[in-house]
Amino acid sequence: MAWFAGSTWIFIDRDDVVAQAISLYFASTTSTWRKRLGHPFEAPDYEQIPYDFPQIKSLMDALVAEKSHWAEFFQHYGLDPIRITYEHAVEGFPDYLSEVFGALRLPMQPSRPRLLQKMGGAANQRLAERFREDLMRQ
Amino acid sequence: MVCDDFRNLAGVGSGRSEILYNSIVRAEAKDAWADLWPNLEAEGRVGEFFCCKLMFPHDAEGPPLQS
Repeated sequence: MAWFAGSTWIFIDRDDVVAQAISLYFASTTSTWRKRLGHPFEAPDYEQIPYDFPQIKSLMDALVAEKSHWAEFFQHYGLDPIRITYEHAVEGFPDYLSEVFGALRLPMQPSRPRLLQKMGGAANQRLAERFREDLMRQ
Repeated sequence: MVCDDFRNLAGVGSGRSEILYNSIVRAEAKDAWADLWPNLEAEGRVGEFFCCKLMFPHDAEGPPLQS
């Protein structure tokens, strides 16, 4: 931890952990992790990805555990991170980062377009719906 | 996304966010942090700051990061 002394901590969370697990499942299955504005991009056919309940459940459990570990971590070291949810980040660009820039006293250039683009939205929703139904039946 | 947005809005453009994970854990680096740090620090530099995403390994017991 000595390396991180004096750091500004930002805890990035996602309210919808099922959607998060499916995003991770899509990314790991297709090895497609990001889409950048202005860069060539061949969109994977997410509809062709097989539904794998155990794998998605395993990823979801890991994400839940990671969330818990971060809570323990911040408590253990007495840290009070700036909290940002993925949902807020997606919808609130660029204002969602105002608190971070303010804390760092760093000038923000809000007119710049977002470079990293969201992927797999509709396919994610469909698989999430199916996964939730199966999860309820367990 | 958040690291990328931050770098972008700070005016330094895109960069790898998982610098420590990719360079130390994934690369199974054998060198001490002190030896690795100069290159990593340069890659993650945003003005006078260093920006990096940290993750708990999925099999971690948590909570401390050992120094």
